[in-house]
Amino acid sequence: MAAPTSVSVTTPITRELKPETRKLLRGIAFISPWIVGFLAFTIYPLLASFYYSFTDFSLFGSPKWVAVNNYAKLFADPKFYKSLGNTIIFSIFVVPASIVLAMGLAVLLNNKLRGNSFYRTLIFMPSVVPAVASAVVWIWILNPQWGLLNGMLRLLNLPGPPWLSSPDWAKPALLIVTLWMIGSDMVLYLAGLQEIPLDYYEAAELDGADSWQKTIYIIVPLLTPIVFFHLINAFIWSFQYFSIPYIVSVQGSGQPADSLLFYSLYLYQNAFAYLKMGYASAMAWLLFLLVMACTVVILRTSKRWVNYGN
Amino acid sequence: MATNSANDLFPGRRKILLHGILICLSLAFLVPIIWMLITSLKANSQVFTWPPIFIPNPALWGNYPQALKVSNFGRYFFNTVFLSFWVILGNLVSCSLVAYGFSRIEWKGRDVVFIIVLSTLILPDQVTLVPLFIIFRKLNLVGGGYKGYLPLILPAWFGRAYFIFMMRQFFLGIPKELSDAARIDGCSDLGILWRIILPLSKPAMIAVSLFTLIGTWSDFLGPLVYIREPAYYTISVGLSNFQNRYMTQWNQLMAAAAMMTVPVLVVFIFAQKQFVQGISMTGLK
Repeated sequence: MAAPTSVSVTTPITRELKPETRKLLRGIAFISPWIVGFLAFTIYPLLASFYYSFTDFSLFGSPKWVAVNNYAKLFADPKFYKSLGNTIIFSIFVVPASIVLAMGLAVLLNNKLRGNSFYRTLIFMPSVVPAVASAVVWIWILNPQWGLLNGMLRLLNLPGPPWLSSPDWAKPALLIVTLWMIGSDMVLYLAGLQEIPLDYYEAAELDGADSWQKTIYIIVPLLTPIVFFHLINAFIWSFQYFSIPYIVSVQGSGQPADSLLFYSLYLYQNAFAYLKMGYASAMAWLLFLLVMACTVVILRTSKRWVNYGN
Repeated sequence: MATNSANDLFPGRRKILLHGILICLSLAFLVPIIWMLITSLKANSQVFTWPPIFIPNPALWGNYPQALKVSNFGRYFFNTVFLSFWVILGNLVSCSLVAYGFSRIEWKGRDVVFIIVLSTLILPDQVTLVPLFIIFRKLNLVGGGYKGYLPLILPAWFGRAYFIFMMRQFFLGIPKELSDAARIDGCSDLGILWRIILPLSKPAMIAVSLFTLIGTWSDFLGPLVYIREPAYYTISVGLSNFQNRYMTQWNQLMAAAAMMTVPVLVVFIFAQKQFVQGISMTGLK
């Protein structure tokens, strides 16, 4: 292309471009903040942490190449297995429990009922309570001796468990705290329920289906796309669960007896308490691979159980 | 003939049963918040009693100023509002520009790039945490003063995948004819975004602002890593520290937790509709 010689006020180059190319340039211009951010805050850190994972780096001095040493140490580190195991066990419980609870609440709240929006508000409310505040409140409620929950259990003549101070009860305690904040997931299901065409229910009614059958044969299958979305979200989320375990386990220590030492807590400890940046990066990369693998598995199996209503 | 409430699973008198279930459930969800407020008004001697005291008498409002005094909460409050403001502004500016590029301009490869945007949603924060910390530290942005907020503010100015997605969904719903007409009148893309799209996208912008506000208010890992000087703590880190030092002062601790929670709850109650719309916008497809 010859150098533009015209003295036109608009830039001569864009004039000569094909409409297709001009659209492309406009599109790229608008998404450029994301492109810069993606390179600076996602791609670069991803590559950098891959590099750091092969080094010894304490922030002071420069990273020292140690090849696969960090990974070798990780695979021999009992605390690493503990944190991985804790995370997996917790997510095996919390993910299905939150799917069932969120869907169940949504089904209950989807009925024609006076005061419905009031119930919705109350159930949704805890999910906007800031994480640290909820953790602090629940530490108090779950206090084995003076807490409200054990007090009520005593009223029913049930033994109050030691909750957050016992390695066996700490995870169930955390499960309660986590399910308390289910509201925002419930809203997803409510939105999904509103998409179900009324004729489906009517047809089922003509066939003589009762409420229970309508729930099992119409509602649940038609909500599977939301379950799918929720499942992926919940898994990823459970691998990065940080604030609440940090607060309830005494300043991120993972106590009692490392029962709340989750993957993200142990990663944080390595990076910011022990300043083992290389070791923490190796953990970060394993986390990345794990999350990818989980997502791929869920995606792969989704065709078999997700109903897109065709 | 099917009734017009065929989707009603609790017809007729079974409504009472449903009311019963829902009253119990909503109480279970509400009680922790109420208990926080009740405890925050008790004298220390009333905290450790059984049966518990449900109506603190006298109500000790003094726990609130006391908690403010010992923990510098006023300052943390201001810090968090300040931080939230810049993060919200960043998200609104960057995500609306990017969402425009992904919805109102048709360019080759757009949908492939958009899938990359969505795929970043599955990336856990912890994966990028260490290298980002190292860069920000090299740039001397970790530690003292308000410059310690830059690592938390900057990423918001380059578009968050979740909000880009939300705004794009919303922009796609705005009729194309509106921008075509403006273009014929000689309006540029930025003009169309500013004069036509944004005024019609208030619900999406409100939802992004609310989510960002709640997110920043609640964020703990970010401030914990990047802010090192106590005077610049956000409310989350402040409360965590307070809890660590005054572990058994439950009344003051609950007063502090209430001061952190009540503003969010008030915002939520007034803007509930936008919240729900915002979540629904991203949930489907």
